[in-house]
Order: sequence, then C-alpha cells, then structure tokens
Amino acid sequence: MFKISRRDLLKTMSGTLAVATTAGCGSGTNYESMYEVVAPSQDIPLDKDVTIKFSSGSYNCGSRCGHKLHVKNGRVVKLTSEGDIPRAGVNGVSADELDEYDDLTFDRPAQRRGCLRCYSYIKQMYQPDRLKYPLIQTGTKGDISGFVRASWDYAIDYVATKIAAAVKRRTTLGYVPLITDFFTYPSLAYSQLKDPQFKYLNMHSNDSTGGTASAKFEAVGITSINNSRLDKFNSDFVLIWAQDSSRTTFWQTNNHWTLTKLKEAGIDTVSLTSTFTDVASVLATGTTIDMGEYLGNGAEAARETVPIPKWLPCRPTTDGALAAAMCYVIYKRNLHDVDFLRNKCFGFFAGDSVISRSTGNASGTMIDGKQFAFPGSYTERGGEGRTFSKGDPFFGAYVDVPAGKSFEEYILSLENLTTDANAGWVSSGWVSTGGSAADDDRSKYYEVLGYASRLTGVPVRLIEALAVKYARPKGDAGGVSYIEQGGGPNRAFNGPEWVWMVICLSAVAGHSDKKGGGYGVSYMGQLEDSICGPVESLGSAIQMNPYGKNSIFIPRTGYHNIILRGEDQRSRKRMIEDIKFQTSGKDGASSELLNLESVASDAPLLEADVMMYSTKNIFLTVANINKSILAAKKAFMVVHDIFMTPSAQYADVIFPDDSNFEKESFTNFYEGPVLYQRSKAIERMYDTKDKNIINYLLCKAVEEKLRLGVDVGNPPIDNPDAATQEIITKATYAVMSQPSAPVYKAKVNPDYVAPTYEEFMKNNGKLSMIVPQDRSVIGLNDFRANINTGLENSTGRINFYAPFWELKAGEYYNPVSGKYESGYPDNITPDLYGPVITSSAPAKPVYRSGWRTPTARYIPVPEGFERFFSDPDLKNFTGYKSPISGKTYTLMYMTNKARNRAHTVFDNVAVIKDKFKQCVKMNKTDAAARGINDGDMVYVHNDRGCMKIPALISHSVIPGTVSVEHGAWYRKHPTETASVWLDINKTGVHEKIEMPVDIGGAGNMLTDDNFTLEPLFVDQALAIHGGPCEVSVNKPD
Amino acid sequence: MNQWGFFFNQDRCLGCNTCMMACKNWNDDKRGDLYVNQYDAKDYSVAVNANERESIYLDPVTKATNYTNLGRYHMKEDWRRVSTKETGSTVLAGDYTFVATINTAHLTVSCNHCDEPACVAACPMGCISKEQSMGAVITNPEACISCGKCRQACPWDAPQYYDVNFANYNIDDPARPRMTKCNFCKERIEEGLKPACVAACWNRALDAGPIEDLKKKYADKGYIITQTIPGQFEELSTKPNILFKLKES
Repeated sequence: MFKISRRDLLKTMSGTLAVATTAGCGSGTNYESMYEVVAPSQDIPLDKDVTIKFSSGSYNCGSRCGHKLHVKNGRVVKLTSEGDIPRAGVNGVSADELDEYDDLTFDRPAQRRGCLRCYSYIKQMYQPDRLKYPLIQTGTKGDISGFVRASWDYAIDYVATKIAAAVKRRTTLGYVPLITDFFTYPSLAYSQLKDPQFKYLNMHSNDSTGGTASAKFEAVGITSINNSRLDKFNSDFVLIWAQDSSRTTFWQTNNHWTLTKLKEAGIDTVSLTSTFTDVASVLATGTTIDMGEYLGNGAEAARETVPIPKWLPCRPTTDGALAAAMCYVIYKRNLHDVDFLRNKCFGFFAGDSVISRSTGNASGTMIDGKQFAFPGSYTERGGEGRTFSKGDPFFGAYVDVPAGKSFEEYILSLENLTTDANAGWVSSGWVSTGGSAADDDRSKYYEVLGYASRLTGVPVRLIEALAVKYARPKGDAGGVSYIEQGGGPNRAFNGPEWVWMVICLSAVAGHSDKKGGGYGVSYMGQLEDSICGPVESLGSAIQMNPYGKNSIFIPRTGYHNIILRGEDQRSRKRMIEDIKFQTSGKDGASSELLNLESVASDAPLLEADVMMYSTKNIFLTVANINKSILAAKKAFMVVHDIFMTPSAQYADVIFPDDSNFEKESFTNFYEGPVLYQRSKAIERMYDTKDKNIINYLLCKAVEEKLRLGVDVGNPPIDNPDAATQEIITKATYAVMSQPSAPVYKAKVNPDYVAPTYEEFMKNNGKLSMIVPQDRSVIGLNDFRANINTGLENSTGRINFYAPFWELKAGEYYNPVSGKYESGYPDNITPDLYGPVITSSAPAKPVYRSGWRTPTARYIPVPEGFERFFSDPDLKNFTGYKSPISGKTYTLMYMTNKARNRAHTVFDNVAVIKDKFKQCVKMNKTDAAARGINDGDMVYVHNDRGCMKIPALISHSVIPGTVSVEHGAWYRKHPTETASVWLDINKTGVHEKIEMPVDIGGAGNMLTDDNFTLEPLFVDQALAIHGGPCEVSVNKPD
Repeated sequence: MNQWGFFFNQDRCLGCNTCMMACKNWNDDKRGDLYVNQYDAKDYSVAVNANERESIYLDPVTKATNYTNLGRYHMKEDWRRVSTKETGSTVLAGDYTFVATINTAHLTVSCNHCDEPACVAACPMGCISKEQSMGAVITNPEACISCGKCRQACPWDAPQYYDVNFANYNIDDPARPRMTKCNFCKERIEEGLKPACVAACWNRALDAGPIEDLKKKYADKGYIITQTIPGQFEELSTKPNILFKLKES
C-alpha cells in the first residue's frame, strides 16, 4: 500500500498552499476547507451536470476499447467504458439485449471494456509531469535540471539548423547522417518525395510481430490470413501457446473473454508458457488423451489415458524445439497428413518437387502492389535452366528440395544428434509401417524426446501426449486443433524459426486449411476477426512505403551500434551489399552516390549526427539500455513525447505533443475492423502542438534554410473552427472506414455497406464488424481442393523448405575454420541445436545476420539454455560461462508483459504503479539457494547491465528463470555503479566500463542487442528474448 | 428493504484489478485526501511555466522523475481489493524437467454491506449506518474520529483510510484521515446503472443486484452458489451480502 509519512504530508500541504497562493489561480476550490479535511459525503445523488464524450484508448496495448469521458467545467472528471450501460430491466431495456453473460454466439459486437490501464487514463493525462512547452538542454545530457524552456520558434529553428547541416553532408556521404523511424518520417518526407536520391538512416523493424512476419514471408506468404477468431469454437482442442490474454491482447481485444467462453463451451485448452499466467490458471482447462491407440508399438500397446495439465511450463526461447519434437512424434507415429503434405505443402518429403503456383512474383511488384525483392537468382532444375531475377514471376517455376534439406530429413536427423553411441543409426521402422518398431527404434525415439525434454523442461510423456492430442484431438474420430499463438517467443533471436515451426506443426497434422484449425499464426494483419485487409506496413524493408523507400534501413534493435560504432551486427561486407541492394533499382533511385566501399576500414561505415524519434521511449523498447545511453550522448537527439520519459531525459531538444483529450481524432489498429472516433473533450492545456503540426513546421524551417525548392505542402489543421473540423472529420472517416470493407464483403457478408458518417456517429463514433461463429472465415479455404489456389510465397504452397531463403543465407560462425562464413552450415558437424560455444569460441552469436536456415527447424539463441551445459546432451549443468566477462550466470531472464503498462506507457502513473511494484519474480527454490527472501532488494545483472529491485518469490516462475516485467522506466541510482561489458567501439571488442545501477527495473538493461535477421527483407521484433543473468543480495563485483 | 449484494464468479476472475481501478476512478472525488492532494486547483490550470521546474520533475536526491510527487494525486483508499491465493509449487524434477502443481485463485472484495455489519456496531461515534433503500452500509466522515475500530471489526478491511498511519494524527490535525468505504455506488444504482466495478469488470466476473434476485439468476444457470471460499472468505456472523461461484480447477 502507498504510504505517506506525516512529515511528507505536511511538506506536501505547505507546498500546495504556497503554489496556490503564488499562482493566484482559483478554480472554485475553497482553500479554507483544507483546514477541515472531511471526505465528501457518501450519500450524494449522481451528478448529471456532465457531458459525455465518446473516445477510445489508443496506446500500444493492441486493443481499442470504448471510453465514455465524463466532462465537466472543461475537465474530464470520470471515465467509464462500454460496460457502463443501464441495468437490464431498467428504462425498458430487456435482459436479452444487455446481458452478455451467456452470449456464446457472439453474433453481435461484444462490449470492448477497458482494463485498468484505460481506467488510469485521466490520471495520466493530468499528470504534473506532462511536457508543457519545448525544452532545450543547456547542461549535461541526461541531467534533467539542465533543460530550459524555449519558444516554439526558437526550438524549431534550432532543430532545423541541425537537420539542415546533416542534409548538407549528403554531398560527401551520399546519405543524410540522420537516424529516424516511421513515426517521424513526415518531417523528412518532403525531401524524399521530391528527390529519390534522398537517403537517411531509417530504424526499421516490426517491433511486435517482426519474427512472425519473417516466418510468414516464405512459409505461407505475408498477406495470408488465418482463420477468424471465433472459429476456435469449431475446434476440438486449443493449444494456447505463449499467449497471456489476461495481460496483453496480441491485437485481439476481448481475447480473454473469448477464451472464457471457450472454456464454458467445454472445449479443452492447454496453456504452454514459461510463467504460470492467469490464462493458464483460470482459462485453460487441461485435457486427456488415450495414448494406447497411437503407440504403433506392440510392447506399449496397453491403452493408457494420459492427463495433460492445464499448464505446460516451457523454458524461454525453446518453444521451437518443442514444436520440432511434436512434429517428430506425429511423424513417427504415422499421424501426419500425407495427402496434405504431398499436395499442398512443399519440402516436407525428401525429393519433393513442385511447379510453383505462386500468386506473387519471384521479385518485383506483386499483384497487390507489394514488393517481393529477390536477393539473387534462382536457377530452376531441368532442361530450361531458367534464372529468375528481379521482376520475373515465380508461377510455373520448377522447384525441388536439395538432398538433405527436406523437413522429413531434418526431423529424422534429430535421431543422429542426441548421443554419440547411436551415431549412424538410420530410421526405418516406424515411418512406413506404423507399428512393429524395433527396440532400438524406440530407444532412439526416446533419446530424441529426452533431449527435447531436458531442453524445454516438458517431460517426455507430456511432449508425446501433447503431440498426439494436437494431431488427433478426438482420437479415432480425428478432430481439428487450433493454436492460439502469442507474441513472446516471436520476439527472440529464434522467433521466426519458432513461428515457422508452428506453421509446420499445423500442416503436419493437416489442420492448416480446416474449419476449427488454421495455420497457427497471429499477425498484425489478422486482427480481431481476421477480416482486415492486407497490411501495408508489413515488416519488409522494401515495401512501397512512400516515405522511406530510399532510405538506408538499419535494424532498430542495434540502432545505437550505428551511432557508437558506425556498423551494426552485420559484417561490414554484408552491410555494404545490403545497403546497395536496398537503395538501388526503385523509382529511379540509385546507390551510385554511396561510396561505402571507399570508406576507410578504420572509419565508421555509417555516420549519424542527428537522431530523431517520437513517442517511442526508445531506450526502454530497444535492447541494451546502457548502449542507448552512451549513444544518446554522442548524437544530437530530438524527441517528441508528452512525458519526461527516461529517453526524453537524454534529449537535446524535446517537443511536447498534445493529448487525445485535446483534439478530434480517429483510432483503429492497423486495418482492423474496429474504428473509433476520439472526440475532443477539453481545450488544449499547455503550450503543446499536434505532432503533425510540429513536423510541418520543421519541414518548412529546413526548406527555408536549404532553399531546395521543395513544396512542403499545406499545414495540417491546428485549432480549426467547427466547420472545418467537420469537413476534416468526415473526410478522415471516409478513408478510415474503408480498408476492411472489401475483405469483409468478400469473406463474410456480400451485402455489407459501410455506415455513413451520420450512422457512424449515431453509434457513438464506433464502427465494428464481426464474423459470427457460424460464418467463420477459413484462411486457407479451398486451398486443399483447388490446385490453382496458390499462396504468395515462392512456391504457392506451405513451405517446409524455402527456396527464397536459400538465396539469402546468413553469416554463421564455422568452428572448423574459426571464421564467419556466408551460407548454411552444412559443411560442419550437423548440430541440430547449433554449435556449442566454448570458452575457445568467440563471444559472438552463431549467426550474425541473414536467414539462418532454408529448412524449417529449431535453432538456439546464442545465449540459450544449451549454453548452460558443458556437454551437448544437456546432462552436466554448469551455468552460462560468459566468454566476454568470464563470469558464470546460472539463471535465465525473461521479460513478461506487465499488467499495469502497455509496453512503457503508464509506468509514470502512480495510481497503478503503486499496486504493481516493479520487481524480479523468482522461484522459491532459486531464491532460497541465494538466501533471498520475499521483498528483499536484490541485484539482477549480467554482462550488459545491472538493476536493483525487490524480489518477489512465487512458484509462478519456473526454476532457473527469473522474470522482470517489460517496460518499467529506467532510473539510475544516484551513486551505485556496476561493471558492464559493451562493444561500443569499432573493433567489436567488449570493453569493461562502469555504468549506473538501474533502480527502475528496466528489462532491457539485460537484453542482447546483438541479434538481427535481414534488414533487407524483414526485420526482427522487439528484443525481449531470454538470456543469462544472476540475482544476488550483494552487488556484483 | 430490497437488500443488494454482489455476485463473484471466481472461475472467471483474471485478477486484473480493473474493478479496483474503476472504483478509484469513479470515487476519486470521494477520497479522504481530496482537499489535501488535488491537482485541479493548481497543477494544470496555472499559467504555462508557472510550476517550479524542479519540484515537478526532480527528486532532489536522485534527480529522477519525482514519483512521490506524482503519487499525491490519486485515491489511496482501496474500497475494492483484489487478492490472490497461490497454492502448490513449480519444481525441477530429474533431467531438468518441471513438475508444476501451482494454482492460483483470485478474490475481489469491497464492502459486503452485511446484514449485521460489525463496523456499525464498533463505531463509537455512530457515523456508519445501513441505509434503507438498498441496504448499503455508508459512512459519514464528518463525525469520524479516526479511531480505527471499524477497520478492526471488519473481517475484510472494508473501512479504509488514505494513510495507513491514520491513528498517529492528532484529533485536531486538519489532515487527519477519516474513514471512507464503498457506498455500493448508490448514486449510480439509483439512476439505473451498475456499480462502477461491475460495469467495468473486464471478464464479466462481477455482478450486483438484489441478493435474492442474484441467487435465483445464477442458480438458474446451474451454478453451485456458495457464500464462503475456503481459505479466502470464511463464514462469519455478520451475514455478508456476497455470493460466489468457486473456481473449479
């Protein structure tokens, strides 16, 4: 409970009086009453002298929930949500109309009720730490007392001068040494639209579903949609994988409510996560499976019903290994859908070949306007020997799986990798016979599962049972299973491979195109009811984005490396290749101005003088906060925000944005089928501006300095009169109500007509389309039956082997040669889980960039659980021995979502932070082993950072793993520092330096920035993957 | 009198605390320190730049955002409280696999507006009473002497103070916290609305209404209705007006 000491209280009171007096402002408060502190009466009538304004939350939680803002005297005094309606039986309203309690059909839009975050919105908007006017740092970076107020004219001119100076350097560099992201692109857009050669450094990523986008790209095609949300009511079993709907929505408002109704409908569910969530506790049911039918083995043929608990704990970042093991079980037990795998998938069987039915092109522009860039040429087999290059359609191409690269060969190779004693054993019995397996087959089988079990923590028997249950949820009658996928594992080094494995798992069982099934993947393009249109802002760096198309794309995770070292995780050679490819061949752009090869090897490859971003709190959302701090001190930093965030504290200039209470606006989430109007509820409170206005003013000022002859366009409307506002609002509605309509018409309701603006406003400014359970949208409907129905990937089928990725191999460490090489590690010992980094191997990840496998498979994270053992069989636990610092870490960290934050948003809102103190959650056994008691202040640390926060002891965290919830604001300890090892110089050598201890509990103090996929195509998600750490009562040496 | 009560479906509660936040949101203007710690009088209506910069942004020691300062402006009393009971364990078995028997169950309680409220009996000043229209137990803070006897008497901590050290204040201290508590959102009920917590409940686990109606409504759904939760809400003589559907697994 929040405590105020008497002394603090008196201090607070005197402060209140002093300010009130000097400010001389009255707002009707009777100050004399301060001396007669009496709570207001409990028996008062409802205040009806309020105006209701309809609005919605729009922070990055993924949901959009309805708000009713109660406005009085120019102030939002209360907020309620869509559940705030008259009671049934009152005012002539029938129970049938309003009682959702037993509404199982969802044939009307469910109320979108805000959670505790929405209910703290008023406190947030009226917080005293709102940024009220432009601020300019006059002292030392990071010292908040150095900020002074500036006029808008001065601040805009100050920043424009810096940008103009950066733009001038383009003539020598070939690009503008400025880092920004898509939120600030309007400020640069004018230059780019007029000048295709204009290039800057674009922090590129899909923070939320980057891993999923990467996987989908070749597995099923990026624009494929999964089954509609309520289709899970047609399933026989639902596996809730890494999804905690009690804390985060993963772009499906009311997902928790849907799962609740699923449980009450009697459909079995199992939750598979690294922590015991409220979904696991409350919504999952557990299930049973009769294994006897599926043993395929006489010796174990006794029928046995295996209970599967509602929660299956699985170690962070090993989810892909579990999926691989499940595929293996299904295959070995002959439960795989051979017909589907042969005819609608590609690359499952050895020797597979296909004539592509791709609906996209091998490269160039696709039919819907997106681009598929082809990274090289692909020579098809056979007599024609065609080579595909940019622009050629893939349709009709012959593609086959190279020897050793089919998925079948992959899962069978697991048998060769577990123990040396059985090396050379070849699978024979189970695959084709479906029974009579020899003893050594069984032995091998259990060795494979034994390894997966030690790695994931899921017992062998439960891996088997879960696999069989998933494949045959109704036993002999078959049945269909659905995977409800969360986002956590996709935000890891091996996230794309996990997502791809889930797609494969669904295809192996033959559920991909069935009602009640689906291919198992949630993506931003499939919000709510899976009917929204294709998402333009997919994670492809080569998309047709008019604002960033000619930029140099750098991964957001690791942006600080560009500022600090001039290079990111990639090798210099690879970076030059990538940048040249990105910046050439599009709309007349060329890479000719870039002379990257001539940059001296001891000079930074890329430079960044100015950094600019908005409302991202980027220190806290990007891995390795200590690097962000050091980078911020090096570049000129410009921040837009509404609060003095930890990131803003390190800015040179801060532009204060206005809030959604203070203007008319709309919100949806991507092209989702829900649209809210956010009504203007109050007048602007401070000397703030709309973000678009700020960008316009900046564009104008830069143009005045450079005289490039660029038309900066018309200013967005600021403080328009009512008539103008109405025109704008209607025009905006016309645009925003359209994206989902064609998809909805085509897939759900051919008679659908989007409501007019007047109808929309009659519905309190809310548009909502639903897909009833009995009209499920099946994402891959007709896929099985129609030979001409192809996907947008390279082959038109579900790819287990991806020709596209074959052409863009990653750089990997070859322990034989001791060097980084490009390609796939076929020429080294085929180690399923990647080469084990030993003390003699360098302190680098196995893969530095590029696609890591052309065949779907599990790969380990560089600092994964495999590295905690001295042997490849995972039997001798030693802890992770860091080759960088020499320290040993025996725990893994993970960063769950917090209840009280939407990423970093709301962490400064005391009313909910008081209830959810930031802490490190750890298992009782781990705490006891370290002498830690509940509530003790402890240090959580690894090579990258150190934080000091309270410990919370709970069995909801698995032994060996600690959880620091994501998004808490960094706050440096006034005196304490700790040693960290950071590769902040061009040499790549990790230097030992002292950095402040964080007392805020910012999870990205611990996370590793040194990972990426290929910024050329698709980028990684937010870096919140697991890795090694230690927790101690005493500060580490 | 048509006695009102709550219904709580423990099998749905996700422990999200939205009920508690909605309560604080709705009743913020009824909190005990409203006249001590309100910001609408100064913090946002003053002229821009009139705030002393450091007092808003800085902790004088750590030079970080002044969280203590931000914490002044919200309702400290927890008229509604969510608690969680954790049972079982998650331990490591041989071969680094997990054996999990852990389970959790949430409970949200405000005031149960008992038939025989212990707080009413305990109050030496007679400030707490049971009103007649819906049986809500309400208080009159004006006469409260902050003795804490009501809080001691209540098995569920329904009587709340904005400062837990309420007993340390002098009787004539203008900042002395008076007891406040859930008033069943009586003003909302009278207008045909639901209590703020019920209207907000994120997973539709809470309901409120005339207690006899609730009993019938949920019995008709086939629920086994109880009036206690073993280990979390024991049987007591005050006759609380709350019904439960227990968490099943």
